[in-house]
Amino acid sequence: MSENDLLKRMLEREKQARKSAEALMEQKSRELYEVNQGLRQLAEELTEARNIASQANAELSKAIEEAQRASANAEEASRAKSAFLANMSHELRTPMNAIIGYCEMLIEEVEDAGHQAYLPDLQKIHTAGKHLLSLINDILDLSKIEAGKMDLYVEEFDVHAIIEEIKNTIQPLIAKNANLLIVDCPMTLPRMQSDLTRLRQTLFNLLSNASKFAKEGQITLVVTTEYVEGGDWLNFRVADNGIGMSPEQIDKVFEAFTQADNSTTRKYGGTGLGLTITKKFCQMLGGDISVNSALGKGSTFTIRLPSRIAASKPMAAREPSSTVKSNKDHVADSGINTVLIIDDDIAVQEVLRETFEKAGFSVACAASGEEGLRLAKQLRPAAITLDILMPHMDGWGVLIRLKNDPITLDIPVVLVTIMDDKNLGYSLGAAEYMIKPVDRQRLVALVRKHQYGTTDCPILVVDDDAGNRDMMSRTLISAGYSVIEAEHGQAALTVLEQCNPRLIILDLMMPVMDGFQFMTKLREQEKWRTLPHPSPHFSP
Amino acid sequence: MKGVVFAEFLEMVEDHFSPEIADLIIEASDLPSGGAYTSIGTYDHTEMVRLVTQLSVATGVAVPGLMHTFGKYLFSRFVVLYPQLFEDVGSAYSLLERIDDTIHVEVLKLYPDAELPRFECIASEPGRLTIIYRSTRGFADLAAGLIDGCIEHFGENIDVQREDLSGGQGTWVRFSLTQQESS
Repeated sequence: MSENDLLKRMLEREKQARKSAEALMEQKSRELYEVNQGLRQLAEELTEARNIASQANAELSKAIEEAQRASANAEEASRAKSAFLANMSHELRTPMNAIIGYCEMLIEEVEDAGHQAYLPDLQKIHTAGKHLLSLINDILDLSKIEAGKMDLYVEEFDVHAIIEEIKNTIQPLIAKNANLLIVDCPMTLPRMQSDLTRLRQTLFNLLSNASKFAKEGQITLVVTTEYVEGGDWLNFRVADNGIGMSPEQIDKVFEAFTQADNSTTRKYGGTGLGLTITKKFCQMLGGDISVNSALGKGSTFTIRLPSRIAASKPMAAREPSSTVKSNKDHVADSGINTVLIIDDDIAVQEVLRETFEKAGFSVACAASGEEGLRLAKQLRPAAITLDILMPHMDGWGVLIRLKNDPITLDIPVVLVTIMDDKNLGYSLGAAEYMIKPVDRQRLVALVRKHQYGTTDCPILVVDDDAGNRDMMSRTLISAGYSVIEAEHGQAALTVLEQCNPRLIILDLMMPVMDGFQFMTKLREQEKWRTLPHPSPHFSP
Repeated sequence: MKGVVFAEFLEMVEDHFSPEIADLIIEASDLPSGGAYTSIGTYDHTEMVRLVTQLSVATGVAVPGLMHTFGKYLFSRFVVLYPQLFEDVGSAYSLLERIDDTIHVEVLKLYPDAELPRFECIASEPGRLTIIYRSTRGFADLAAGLIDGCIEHFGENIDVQREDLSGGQGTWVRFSLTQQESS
């Protein structure tokens, strides 16, 4: 084999190798190109997909934004609606109280005058008015709950004692339909920390419902306790063997404005809101309400509440108060024949104002606890009527502060409230306890009981409203008093230069000089400080 | 088998023996590829068997010895051709342990169709390494040469014991490596 042949073969092999390498490279390049094309297409598709996704995202964000806006609007609208309802209800209560109050007055007058024929009609107006008022009150409660304005007043209490009290109170209502109330409430129940007023309201509601829908039947109230992880729970079961409900009726029983059927309202009365409010209260108290019922066999409502709920708004601390003190001389020294009415409800203010004015007192009104305390110090009134359920500072808080301040300590306080908590009221130093609606005659009797003997001095009526002045003057003159009128504080001071009235009935909001300025002037002058004002006085 | 192995084999024959011997064994082997190898190509492994057999005939050296020598040579060529494989690798064990999970992974990225042998490494105790070689081609001698080339490259003193688990087929072989006390 020659070297030449060898080299030729080697060259040939190298050529072959190069060609196959080139072919391989070409093939690889083609593959790369195809893969590249595929990738490019994939990238395009991805870009497109991303565009679609981002577009969808944008639409979604927009939709979320719109939904949030809509939700905020809806919430705002709902709040506005609730606020409107609350305000409206309040506005409605004012004239309703006037209608009921004047109707009561008319009934008295008609009775006195012997016009018996008018009585049934007046009584119908009175009953309808009261029904309308309770409806408005329920709506107010419900709208307050829905607007989140219903505060809880958490306190600790003995369940057994409360149940006993409820049993006694509800008895007349139970007896009305010849029902029998059986209460099973062991003495050993744990003490409860909750909102007593709401609990009492819910139980009253269930019991009054039971007594309404059962006739000559049996109503039971059973209280049991159970321990579930984390604490004690109390079950309040109210059962009756009355008309009961169908499954369809049960479904709707807690909905607002639905009673078992339309005829129920006509036959049994009620607003159709009671159970809705009851359910809301139960939920506010950390529990719930359930119902079992069968048509014709009766209904059983069970309220389940934790024995202790976290105090969202604890009540003002209740310091045990010593026996009620009274110092007639001290109050008499203040020389003012004024009754101060502290109540956030204008309608109540009006009714009480009229009652007291009729009785010959001048009246000052405060719509809040804070204002009441301020006026009490400023006016040193002969007596104070005090509501318990008020926003910000409730009546208990006001009472404690009044009794802890040497300036106001001796002013008799009459609690005028829907809350039935006499023991607490008296222990905190209240002179009298009256439950709304007010028995005006009793209130007047209390006033008269403490009124000093009459003198020949006139009564000074200070009011910028001529109509009011005239009405009061006529009332007083008809009651045998002489009256001098003044249209504002300044005019009243002029009158005082000439005579010493036995009583001044003073409006507060007046032009030129308002009631407060007038009071200040009155106190500044030594001669007027000793005006012989008889001071009515409440004693415990 | 990758073309690079054939190309390197023929280079070795030309260098260690002569271009004439290389030509001789190619001609004598009657290869389907004609002995025109490019390193980026892939060729039937039986061509390697034929070439080595012919080399044995031409030189009188036994096939296993030739394969072992080629293994050592091939490793030294890998060091030159693929320096990136040796970055951050400081010992024979650490390189051998990388064969399956790093080096062969890289090879497969470039040549997805490559049929690679398995080098399963078990480091049971310090200074010892067991390598289980598996390949359908039965190139255990080549593997042994590569292992020795690796040890030589790192200048280490390691004893290698070899145990054929495939009854002399050279397809399933255990290499037991033991680090020796440096004298």
